[in-house]
Amino acid sequence: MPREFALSGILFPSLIVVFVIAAAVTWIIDGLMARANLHRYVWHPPLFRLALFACLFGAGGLLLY
Amino acid sequence: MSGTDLRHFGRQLFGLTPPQRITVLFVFRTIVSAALAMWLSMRFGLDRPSTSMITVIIVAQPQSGLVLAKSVYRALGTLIGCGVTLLFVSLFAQYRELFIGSVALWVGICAAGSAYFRDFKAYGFILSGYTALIIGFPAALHTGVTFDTALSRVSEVLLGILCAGVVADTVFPHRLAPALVELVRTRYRDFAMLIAGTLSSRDEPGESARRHARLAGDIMRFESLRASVYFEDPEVRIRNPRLQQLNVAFMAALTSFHALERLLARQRAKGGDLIDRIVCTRAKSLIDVLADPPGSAAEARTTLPRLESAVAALSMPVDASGIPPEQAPEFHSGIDLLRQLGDELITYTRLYASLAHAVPPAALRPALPDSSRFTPHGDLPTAIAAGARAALALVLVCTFWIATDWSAGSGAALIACIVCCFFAASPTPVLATRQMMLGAVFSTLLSWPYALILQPAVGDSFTMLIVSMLPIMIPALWLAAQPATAGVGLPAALFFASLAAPQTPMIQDPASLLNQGLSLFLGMAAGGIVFSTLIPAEGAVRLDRLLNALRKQLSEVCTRPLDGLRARFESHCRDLQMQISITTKISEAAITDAQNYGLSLLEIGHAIIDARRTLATHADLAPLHGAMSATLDAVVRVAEQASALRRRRALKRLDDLIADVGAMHLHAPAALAARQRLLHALYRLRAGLLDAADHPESLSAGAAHAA
Repeated sequence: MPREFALSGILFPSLIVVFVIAAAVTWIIDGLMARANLHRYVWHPPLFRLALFACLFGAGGLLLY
Repeated sequence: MSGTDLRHFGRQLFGLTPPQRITVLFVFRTIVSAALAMWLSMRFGLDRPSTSMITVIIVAQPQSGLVLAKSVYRALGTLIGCGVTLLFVSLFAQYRELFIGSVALWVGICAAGSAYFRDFKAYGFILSGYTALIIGFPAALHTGVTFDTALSRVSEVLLGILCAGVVADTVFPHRLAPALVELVRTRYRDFAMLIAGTLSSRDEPGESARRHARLAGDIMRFESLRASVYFEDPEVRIRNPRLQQLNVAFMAALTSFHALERLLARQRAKGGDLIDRIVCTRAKSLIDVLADPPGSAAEARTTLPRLESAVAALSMPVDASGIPPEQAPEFHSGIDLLRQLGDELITYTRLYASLAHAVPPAALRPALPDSSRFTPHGDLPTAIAAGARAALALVLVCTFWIATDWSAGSGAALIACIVCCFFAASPTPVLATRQMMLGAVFSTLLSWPYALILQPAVGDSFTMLIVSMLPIMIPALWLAAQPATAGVGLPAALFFASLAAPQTPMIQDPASLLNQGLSLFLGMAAGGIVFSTLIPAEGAVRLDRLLNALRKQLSEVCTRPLDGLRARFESHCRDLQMQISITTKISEAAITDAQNYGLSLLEIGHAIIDARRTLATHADLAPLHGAMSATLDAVVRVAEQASALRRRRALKRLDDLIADVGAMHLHAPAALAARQRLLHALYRLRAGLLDAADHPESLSAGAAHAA
């Protein structure tokens, strides 16, 4: 995948797209976890959410670089 | 050591009460996220790191749910505002007047939007309005770098939002979700006790009125809590549709109960407590269930079958032999209302019980349609006034700017716009502007010694820079955390950050500081003048506007399609009543009158909807449609302008309609029951109209104050 893409002549870093996708996936996983009542097993849900996002974003970023 | 022990230990160590702890953590979190945002934007080489810091301060709130909600709408508003600005710059940058005109129009539209929606959506409108100014003016002044400026401003804002959101959510978060759970529980308990108390005549009338007012206020509090906890807690997010329906179910039950209460009170005023006694005896089993309300959603599940059997007992045939014939209609409407209240209580309790589960079991599936929700009343005249105000203030300041060629003119325009947009929906914009000015004085005076003496001495170290800002930021944020002084503290922190925060490259220029300080005051003064004199937004003018909107509700209830009408009517009325109760600069008596008008309106509207629905669902009653719509027309005319003549006409029509209904030849049992129901609704409508006629100040409240 290219590291940058052009949108009407302006270069954007592909990381932005990865960021948005990672955020969306985190949001969905979080909702599913709440539905299955899995948050009971997590000590600090927001911290868990942030870590999950960091993992997803990091993994996505590694695909690019 | 477990978490609770640790917390206990910490509290003992520092000797902090819980509210103090919240404040300390708020100040700590805000400073950490501001420093983080600033450091990151310096690392990324963005050209104004102070924008990130200011963003953090703007969204700073003690509760993490509020920060997240504000952040989301702020990000959306910024992106939209940025897009519109780029459009304006590309179209009009060559023509100063056209550019300012188009920006003023855009800001006006955004201010109108924020006054129309009044919830978190309003925040998005405010932001897209003033992002246009933050980006637009500097960009239009240097058209060559417009795109770069816009991009870097948006990056700074989004970076600030991210820092604020992450820190607020993870570092010692103060959650709103427990407050929401507590509200759901106490509200159910209070409501059940209110019904039980009123029906068994144990409550003092004053006590009941107070509880009523508090419960009505809870409707709005619940709505705003739900909207912010949505972003904080995934558990609440998946229950969101049910929470919205819960509020609708509660409103419906509260209004039916209110109608029943009025009916009983009227009977008491007439001197007969016979009906009162029979109705209350009949409700005995219901009272028993309600006097022992469940404390949580799980307990509600065990209450539900008892409630259902108590309500089923209400529909047993009534023995009306002891009732004098002239009181029979009131008696039957009372029983009817009691049954309706019982059904609505079942819906409400079922929703409440279903909240214990992430996915409701089949037995607890809500009976309401998925789309029922509280809709705040959006008032077009108010919105247009707010938009005109913002556009006017902006044009005023910009005219001054162009005429004097003042270097800080764009700053003044920005502040005027912020004042007009932020306070567009506030009940006390003039007071809010004054508090903001006080905050600006505080920060302007302190930013001079800071920027000219302390900052040069600090040198290049980032740590020292943040440390040197602490002596001013901590007290300002402390003030911002207390509800009473938030209006002073938040602007103080904000303006201090914008005046004193370092730029890259560093600028230490007394003249520019002076100019910027002056521009703050000029902008705020323009906003204040527009709010208080040019298009006033407080006192009698506001009350008149709200009363007009209430009156319009009555015509809407007569004419709009029935689908979702009840939830809409009730939420608008409750919302307007809440707004009336926070109107300032008006006499206590005027507010009470307006409140009473709102309450009698709720009763009349309830009866009208009931009548219309019965008529619409039974084909046998179809011949009555013509007479019904004529009656509703007459009622609408009373609502538009109450006069003795119009009211007499409406009552005459209503009496004719009641006679028509009574004279119909019907045989099917279902049709007979429907006719009874329609008759009862019409009787209640009649009683409500007569009530309003007895207290002429209520139906013509607006006219009396306008005179």
